[in-house]
Amino acid sequence: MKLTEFKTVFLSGKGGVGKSTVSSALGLYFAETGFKTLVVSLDPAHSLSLTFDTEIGKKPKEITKDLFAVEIDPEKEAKRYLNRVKREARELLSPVVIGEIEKQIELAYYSPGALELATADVIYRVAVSERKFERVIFDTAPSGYTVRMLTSPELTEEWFKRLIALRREALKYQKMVGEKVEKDPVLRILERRLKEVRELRSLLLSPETLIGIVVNPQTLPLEIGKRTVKELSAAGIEVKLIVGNRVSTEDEKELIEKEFPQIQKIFIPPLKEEPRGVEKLKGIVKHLKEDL
Amino acid sequence: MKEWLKVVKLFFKGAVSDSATDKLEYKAAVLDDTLLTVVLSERLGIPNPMAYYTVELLPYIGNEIPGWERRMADRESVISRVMGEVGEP
Repeated sequence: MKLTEFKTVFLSGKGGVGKSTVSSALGLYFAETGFKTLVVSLDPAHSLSLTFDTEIGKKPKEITKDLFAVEIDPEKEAKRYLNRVKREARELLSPVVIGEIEKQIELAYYSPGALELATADVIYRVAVSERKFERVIFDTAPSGYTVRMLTSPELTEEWFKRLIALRREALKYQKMVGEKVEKDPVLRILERRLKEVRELRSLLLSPETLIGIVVNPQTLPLEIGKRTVKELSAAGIEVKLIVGNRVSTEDEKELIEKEFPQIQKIFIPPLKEEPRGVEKLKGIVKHLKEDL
Repeated sequence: MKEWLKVVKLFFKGAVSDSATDKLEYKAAVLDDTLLTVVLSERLGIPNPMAYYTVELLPYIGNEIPGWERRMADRESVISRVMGEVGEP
């Protein structure tokens, strides 16, 4: 499959290997091919503003023809979501319980997996529910943990289905005794979450989605890359691309070949200058085109 | 005599349907408790990897929490309820 045929791309890799640079260059390549493309940074330490050499915020900004970029902070998204829940709680709950529940809602921010689920929510919004672009590239990949939660039906889907069944049964009994049951908000929320989880799973498992890992020819990035491949494949997701960034010698290429024998690779040599801005990124796009 | 029979009939109808209503209300309450137990499982020491998602339900079911806490704390009532429902061995 040609690189430009993938509609959604996630790039994983150890910090500092050049995920944002490669994402930006890939975005430029897609846009040059004629696809309306969005590059999304989900890293709290945003670097798209650096790679594109322009200030980028939380609204998609046009970089060049057909190329847009956005920086979203999942931590802020999580806080916004929990504040919304708190507001609803204050509107609906009795003063007897509100204090306790506000605390419970605040604690959810620190609950295990909270930020990963917040990240999943952002991915869902940008790549599925509010999708406005033909190509979407994320400079981060969901962690093995998130992917496992989203892809294994027993973990999440069945769980939501069971809660939905439970709620439906309770509502049925309430209806039978003549209580007025209007459109139940609990059921609405659970059904929405179930839908999200299902659609995210099909996005991650889609043949049109590319999950790639960026590595450098050094032990640590390679080891972390290998671990990611293993975690994702345990969750049923195939890593389809390895980007060897800053690879100069044949020996270095061989080292990467040896570590990831089954996976397709692209190699990018070190650049004389830091690739900042569209013009300099073209130096990388050249290699993305050549190697596949 | 006819009037009296009518009253007796009504009495039994009321008694039966009332206990049926009670049973249904009770069943619904048990299911609501189960939902709360899942949402608040961390309070019982059971980790909930979906806590970030399930807090969204609290504004709609939170008013039941004091009752849920009371029932969770009162083991005897939980057991006696189960006995009432299932019967003693």
